[in-house]
Amino acid sequence: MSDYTGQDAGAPPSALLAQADCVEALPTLSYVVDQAIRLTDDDDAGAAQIADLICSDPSISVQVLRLANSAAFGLLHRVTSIQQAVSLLGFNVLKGILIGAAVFDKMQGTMSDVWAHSLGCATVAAMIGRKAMYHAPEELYTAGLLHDIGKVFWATQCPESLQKILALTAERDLTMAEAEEELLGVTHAQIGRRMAVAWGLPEALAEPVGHHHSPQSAASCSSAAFAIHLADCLVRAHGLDDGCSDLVPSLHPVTLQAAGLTRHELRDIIDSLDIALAGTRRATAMAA
Amino acid sequence: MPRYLPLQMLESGMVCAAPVSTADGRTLCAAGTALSVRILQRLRGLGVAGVEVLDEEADDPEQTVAQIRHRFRRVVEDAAMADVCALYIDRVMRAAQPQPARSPEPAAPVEIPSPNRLRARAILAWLGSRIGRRRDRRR
Repeated sequence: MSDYTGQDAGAPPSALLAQADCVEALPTLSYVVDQAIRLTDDDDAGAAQIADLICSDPSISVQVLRLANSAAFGLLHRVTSIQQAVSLLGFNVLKGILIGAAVFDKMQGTMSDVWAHSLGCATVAAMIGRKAMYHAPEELYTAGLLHDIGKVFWATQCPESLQKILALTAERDLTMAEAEEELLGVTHAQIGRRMAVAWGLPEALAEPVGHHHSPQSAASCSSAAFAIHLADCLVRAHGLDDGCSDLVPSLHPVTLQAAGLTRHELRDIIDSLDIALAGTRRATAMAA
Repeated sequence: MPRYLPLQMLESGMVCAAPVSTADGRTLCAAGTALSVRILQRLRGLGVAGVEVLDEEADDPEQTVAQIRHRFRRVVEDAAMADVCALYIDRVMRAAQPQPARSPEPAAPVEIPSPNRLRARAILAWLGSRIGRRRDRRR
């Protein structure tokens, strides 16, 4: 067992999870994003109303357009307006993109590696989705974008714990999830799932976020959880890690089969990573 | 390997590794475009921060392979993970192989008319002109 015991580290896992359930404790979203998310839950709100609201924040508008236009979505036409983005992507995907853009926009100065890794994971998850004929590859993109959102919780709510986690990963050559489990008894994936639920994201996004290190235990959407598990591994193997640990995590033995891929298709994806992730590096370098 | 360079470090002749587009998705340069002075001025005018260009000096494949092995150090005993690692290494080694030199396109054969063919053409031209003259006279 580790010697690391600090103020945050002493908190029981249930207390940390409860903290993640409380929206007020999470990184604050801008007024525009907060209102836009509320409108996506409002049955009476139309796409035009949401688009108008997003347009009132140029920074978020640019992020939404950039993400919507990501090659990962594979849309036939370029998305040139927020209204078009709202109509094409659907409310759930839009909500995820808004949260991802807003949270990482705030954290880009201090967590640019996590942002770059998340964008890369989103891109590869959508590639897997398209290869495996997944019914909604854009959902996989959004789940990939948000899969490490629990790390933002550590950075904002428990910075001392984060320092201890990072120290333990370096000292014992552990993955971040292993260090979290040992130190706190709860991982960023579990925290991320609770955050996703607290923000009102659907199970199709919350489950892959919560089980990207343990896809076999996903109660639903297990193929999506396996796809994010694989995407996370491939992006790390490509060298686009989150800055916390450079280790490639072990894949669950049935990952390829569960994600709906053959070895040949996996090889095709690995061969095209240079081109696919070039845009990710460009986007994050521009933001830095 | 492509690398991102800020606009001030770009030079004409460099080749785009990925499309350059505006935030609203308008493509300014396609992947493979060689950057000219005019294109660079245009990108500067449009406020583009930088471009992903092809790196002329390819990374050392042995170093890249060592980095890949280092990332897989904890899982290399797992046969399935060793296979994934091998796919990454294979990609690097294939990219490092020198591209086979293209043989020059075979030149289109130049037709050299034989003397007999030249004579036949001259006769046909003469006959054609005779026929044309007769028609003119009849009219």
